[in-house]
Amino acid sequence: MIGYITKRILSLVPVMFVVAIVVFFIVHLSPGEPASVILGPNASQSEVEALRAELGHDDPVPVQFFNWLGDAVTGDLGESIYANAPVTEVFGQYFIPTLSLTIFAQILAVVFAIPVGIIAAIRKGTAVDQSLMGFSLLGISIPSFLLGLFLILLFSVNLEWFPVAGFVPLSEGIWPHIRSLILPAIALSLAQAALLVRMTRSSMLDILDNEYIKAARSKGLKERVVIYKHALRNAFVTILEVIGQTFSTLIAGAVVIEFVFNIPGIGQLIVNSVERRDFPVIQGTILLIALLYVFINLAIDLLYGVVDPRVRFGKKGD
Amino acid sequence: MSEHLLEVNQLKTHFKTETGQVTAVDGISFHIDEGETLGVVGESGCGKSVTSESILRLLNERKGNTTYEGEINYRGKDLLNVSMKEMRKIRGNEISMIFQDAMSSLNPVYTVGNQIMETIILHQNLSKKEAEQKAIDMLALTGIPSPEKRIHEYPHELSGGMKQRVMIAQALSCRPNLLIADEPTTALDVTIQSQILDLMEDLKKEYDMGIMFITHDLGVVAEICTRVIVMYLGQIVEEATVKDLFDQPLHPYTKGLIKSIPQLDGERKKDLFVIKGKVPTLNDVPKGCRFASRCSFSTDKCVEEEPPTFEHTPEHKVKCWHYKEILEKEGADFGKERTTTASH
Ligand SMILES: Nc1ncnc2c1ncn2[C@@H]1O[C@H](COP(=O)(O)OP(=O)(O)OP(=O)(O)O)[C@@H](O)[C@H]1O
Ligand SMILES: [Mg+2]
Repeated sequence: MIGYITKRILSLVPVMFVVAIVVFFIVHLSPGEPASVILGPNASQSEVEALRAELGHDDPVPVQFFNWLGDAVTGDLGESIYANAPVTEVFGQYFIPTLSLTIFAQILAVVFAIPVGIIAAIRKGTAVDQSLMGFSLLGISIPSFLLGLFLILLFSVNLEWFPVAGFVPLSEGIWPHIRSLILPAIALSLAQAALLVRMTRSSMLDILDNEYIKAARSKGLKERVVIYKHALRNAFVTILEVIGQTFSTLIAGAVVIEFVFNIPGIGQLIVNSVERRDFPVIQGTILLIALLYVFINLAIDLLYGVVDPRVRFGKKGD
Repeated sequence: MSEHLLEVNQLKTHFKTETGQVTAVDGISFHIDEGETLGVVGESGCGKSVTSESILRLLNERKGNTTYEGEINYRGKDLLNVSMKEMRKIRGNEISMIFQDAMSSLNPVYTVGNQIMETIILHQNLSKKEAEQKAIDMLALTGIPSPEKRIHEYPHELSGGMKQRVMIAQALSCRPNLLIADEPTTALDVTIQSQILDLMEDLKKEYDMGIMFITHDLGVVAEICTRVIVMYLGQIVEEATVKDLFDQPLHPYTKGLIKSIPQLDGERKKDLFVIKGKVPTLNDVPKGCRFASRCSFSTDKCVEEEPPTFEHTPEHKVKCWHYKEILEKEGADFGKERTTTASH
């Protein structure tokens, strides 16, 4: 298992290197001159050139890249031009609401979708199954921002159960924090939950057709044990894969939901930074998000190993 | 009541499919006694597995598209009518099963020890520790080296023969009265196959259980069975003791099966005999004798009317209109010609 983990972590190094190159050059090749952005429209040509030299922007591109990369590896992603603070600090500040929202949405999706998917699988072909499948199709088809607006209208404006918008940090109490996240999390997670219901159902159905399920029944086990011990653990390999993918989708979706609910998260940070040509922040944010994706995938891979011994022994995957 | 361990009476198993209802097992009757091995033979698709799985009612758990008719009497109970709770007490405990595909009958995500112990803990009042010891003992009994290590291994770490032994250990762990073994050796190579057969034979003697041994390998039947039923398209076409079956097969289908056993006589190496034609599908079952279209003796009567089961002797039954004439014509020769295979 330790060997497996080390192998997985080492395999991330080249991936992150490629990501760093892409991030650096996308930003580097896009129009706009940081030095003139910093100095404003009234700066003279010589002032701009002096700042360029100071920032190292006159160096050959590979030198700039390795300087930037070297700093990044030690955790220094530069200073925000706009906020006069380290990029990592700015990122951290905006990332927390996004992370809260995403995790909350993911928990909602998993807690709701897996049991529903199992029920649909067990009741395959019945009215219960058909209506669950109908609802899940509906859930997948509703755009999250529309659902968000609808939820605000119903629960915040009409019923006044929840705040209309805004984000309450965890430091102001757990309940106000959760209360401010419930509606955005529902809006964000519905499509993922609906997808997860369908995937859970279909992977359970696949697994239930296996010979070892029949064999488990032939031992005299209760149907509950057959489903939850023998089938679910196997189906979980597929379910995990979907959770891994949806988590990434959730982060992307969070950007939209943050606008609807006015949550100061990564989405706002990126859009604002692009408008302000705050290059270090753009670069750093994209790099950190990429790093996050990579680590989520790593975590999912390690979980495979926990769930499925064949992965742990290096028989599958790779 | 019957004194047989298991008595199946006019069992029919119907499946609902997209193309309509099919009857995969159509009115079969047979029995198994304690301490005997009943062979069940027939080509692929003739309903051997469906028959065996019907006994433990393993076919209708989920989809509810399977219906059974008839009776399966086991110790004064009709297994087709007992409650699910009672059925669960019998499964794995009094009647256990080894499935056709041992490779995929073990759950890949649990250790083999876990899976054997699960059965033991379920049916016997043993602690986890005792169950583990029992699992080790059972594995040792099947000849697996260092069983105390093996129980911590996962199915994918074991070879096919080892998995088959694990399945046997698991099936026998609660000392069943009846063991249903569905082609337990088909996937294994010849050496392992004969080891497993010897093992089953030894364990049968030790436990005095009845075995229903499903196979399409008549050679194996000759080796380990006491009686045989021959199935064709969901029906039993012949039932006999092993000796009778090989000495004097009555049904043309059985004769075909016996003739198509590969022969290594040394002197003359004949072409492998193949029964002509192919098995009709369950969707258009012939109305007369089901074998008629492939039978060289078939007459209009065969095509028109389904033959009843005739008792040639009380021990030897056959579902063929013309078995007597055929017997007079060629039966005696057949027996002589084949004594080499039958003398086992
Ligand atoms: N669940 C099912 N639904 C519909 N038809 C089925 C089902 N299970 C089995 N059958 C059909 O029943 C017939 C008998 O199948 P069975 O598996 O018993 O054959 P078998 O004699 O065991 O063959 P083999 O030697 O290949 O194992 C086949 O035609 C099969 O297609
Ligand atoms: Mg079969």
